[in-house]
Amino acid sequence: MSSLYILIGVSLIVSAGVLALLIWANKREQFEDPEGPKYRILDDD
Amino acid sequence: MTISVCRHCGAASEEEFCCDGCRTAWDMIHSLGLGSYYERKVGVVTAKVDPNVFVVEELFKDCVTENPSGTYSVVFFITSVRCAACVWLVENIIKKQSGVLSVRVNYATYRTVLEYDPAKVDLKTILLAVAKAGYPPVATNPAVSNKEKKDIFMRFAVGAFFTMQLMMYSFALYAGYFNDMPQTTKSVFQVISWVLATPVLIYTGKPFFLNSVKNLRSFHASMDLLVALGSGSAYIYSVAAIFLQREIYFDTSATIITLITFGRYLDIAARHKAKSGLLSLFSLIPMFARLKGEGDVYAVVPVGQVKEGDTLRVSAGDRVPVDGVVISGNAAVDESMLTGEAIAVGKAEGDTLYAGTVNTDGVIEMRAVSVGKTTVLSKIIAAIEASDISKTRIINIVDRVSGIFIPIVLLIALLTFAVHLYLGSGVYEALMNSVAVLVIACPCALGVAAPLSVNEASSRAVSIGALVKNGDAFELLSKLDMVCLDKTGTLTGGKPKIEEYKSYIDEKKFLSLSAAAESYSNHLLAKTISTFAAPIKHKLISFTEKQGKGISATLEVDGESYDLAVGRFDYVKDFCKRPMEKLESRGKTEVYTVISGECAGYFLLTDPLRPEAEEVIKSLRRRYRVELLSGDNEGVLSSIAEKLPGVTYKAGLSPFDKIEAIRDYQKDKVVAMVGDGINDALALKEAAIGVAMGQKASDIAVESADIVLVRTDLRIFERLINLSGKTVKTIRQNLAWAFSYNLVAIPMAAIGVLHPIVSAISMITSSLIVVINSGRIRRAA
Repeated sequence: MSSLYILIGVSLIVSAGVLALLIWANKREQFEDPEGPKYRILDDD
Repeated sequence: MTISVCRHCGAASEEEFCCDGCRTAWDMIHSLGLGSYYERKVGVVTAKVDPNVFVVEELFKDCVTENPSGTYSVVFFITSVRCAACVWLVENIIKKQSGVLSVRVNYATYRTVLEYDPAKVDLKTILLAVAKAGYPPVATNPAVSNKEKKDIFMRFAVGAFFTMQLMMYSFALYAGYFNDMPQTTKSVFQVISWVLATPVLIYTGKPFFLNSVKNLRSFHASMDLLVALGSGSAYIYSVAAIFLQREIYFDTSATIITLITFGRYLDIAARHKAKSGLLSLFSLIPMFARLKGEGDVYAVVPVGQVKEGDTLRVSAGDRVPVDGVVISGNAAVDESMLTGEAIAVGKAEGDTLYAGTVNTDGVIEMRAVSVGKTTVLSKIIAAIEASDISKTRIINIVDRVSGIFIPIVLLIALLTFAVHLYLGSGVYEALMNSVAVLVIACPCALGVAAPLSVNEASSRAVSIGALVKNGDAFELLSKLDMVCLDKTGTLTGGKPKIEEYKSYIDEKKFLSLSAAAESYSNHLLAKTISTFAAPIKHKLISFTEKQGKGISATLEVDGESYDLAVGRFDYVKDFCKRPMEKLESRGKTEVYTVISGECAGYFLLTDPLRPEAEEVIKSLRRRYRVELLSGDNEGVLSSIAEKLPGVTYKAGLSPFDKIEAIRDYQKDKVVAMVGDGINDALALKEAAIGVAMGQKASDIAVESADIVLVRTDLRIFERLINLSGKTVKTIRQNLAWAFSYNLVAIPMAAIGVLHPIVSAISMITSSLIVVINSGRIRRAA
């Protein structure tokens, strides 16, 4: 049964990482312009 | 010297065309029979302007913020961006400036964010480079940011994240209920659920609790209160339950908050999208003026520097910079942005000019009378911005239902407590059961019942040809009492019809010669006349056109030469050798023909009702009061009202009179206003529901409206009213479903047999039904 508690711990740590990623992405305005990127791939810089 | 404009590109030119290229283009377009291009072209004339006038550094001061690293960030708008290629061009022009660190132009809103190193480059250089390429930058108030949207998105995302995590443990607990989970494992899972539910309640739920406190202070029950009550009591109950080894409701608490925040996000995102276009109002404000200095020198200055009494020159293609009076010269001025009248108005000495209108030909000198915030245009824009705040908001249907539901739930909770106590259970048992009633009180589906339906209805509206910018419009339309309509462009189609004509010479000659001469003009009235009779076979010797006034031409027919002048009275009277008599027009437009110095006859034209408009008005009249609000004269309106039984009208109204009229009706009615010009913009804002009509609607009308019809077709409006009825019905059904499942669960909670599984299943089922039911709107109307 103790393996369960280890796995819970691991899953919580992993999800904390995902949450950090989400907050980071929102701060970096990754969700600001959903239109732009599809055009930008056509512009070869 | 007369300066006129190039017939193709609109640049100032002494010839008919400014260059061979333009002539070729004009010929090509006409040879393909696409001459109406020139009517479609909006804002035709743009004279070449020194880019310096767009870049006034003081204006951009507020847009700049200093970053901790010492670099500067600027946010501004580039309004003339049209497509993806423009965005690419602007980005690359800016990137080429040394010292620019990064630049991003948003494809949807044209909001430009750039970061630069102030040690290497100054802002003016960058802005000038963009302006030179033909994309004038527009300063923006940094307060107009998407902070609100970003904030609610973050709250939803965090809430959804923790709720999903929480669900895993909740499911384990549900399964454990059937499989006899050991008490220690159960306790561990419950504590983990507690940890995961807490951020949802505190962070995502914060706005609900803050609003509830506000509502409580004003004794006003709303949806926020119901959400706070349900989720808060579920949370507190569950914390107690962990220690008392009972079942927990953390999942209920978290799901309510997250789902309802999602509904709010949908709502705010839609509102935000509609709002982001607002800046195009400012693009109507002229940016520069040609100020007369010493010795007939004209300096191009920013419009802000013009003072009352200054003498200004307005060349062909310029926007009139400030309100004023013509001192000398004459020109046809396009006032359509103010009046909605498509035909340019002739202006001569002593006539009043309004800021923002466009001089289409000729050169005039004017004296500035009112400048800055006192011009008519500025007043209209200021009024529109102000009314954004004061606009009457209806009390949301969901808030209304919540207001009734809350006292009922509180009463049931109280009764539960009393009854359990009376039946002999302990205080503790009675309290737990009454709190359980509150826990189940708030339906998750409540938050999405309205936004989902409105979303579906909006996409349905797009497919029938209407853009609904404000979701409240559906609810308001379903309560409509009265429809006010503008005349020009809304009821009449801009397809003039010849009502009658009179010829003083041989009738056939009069008609065929007039038609021949008019066939060289693109003017709407000219086209009507040129297609009315078959043009005579002829050779064109010369042709000149005064926009909005008339044409003069010399034609050779069978070796004989005719000098023709066709147009408005003021224009043709100079071509006539004898004094001409002006007719009583009685609401009709007169066009006179002068042939070789003799008045040959006249046409009387009217702008008839579009057939579909007549039909729709008659059917609207059966359900609502209908009134025409127009700037036109009494004669025109009374002749139209004759054809529309039961329709009242008000004639000769200024834009400000229109608001007064609507404000007056709105004291006891829900009013919809349909219009298309900038003269209607204020009325569109003031009315509970503003509807901008068709592709030809001015930008400012489109901005002010709640609903934009994509075609000039009133039937869309009628269908939209039907769609609104259906939408509101669906919202009501959704609410009924949302609450009905809670009504099933409440008695169970009151008796004391409620289990988290029942709560979870009832919430999921009601949410699903709401989603599916909203989808039905797609097939409506």
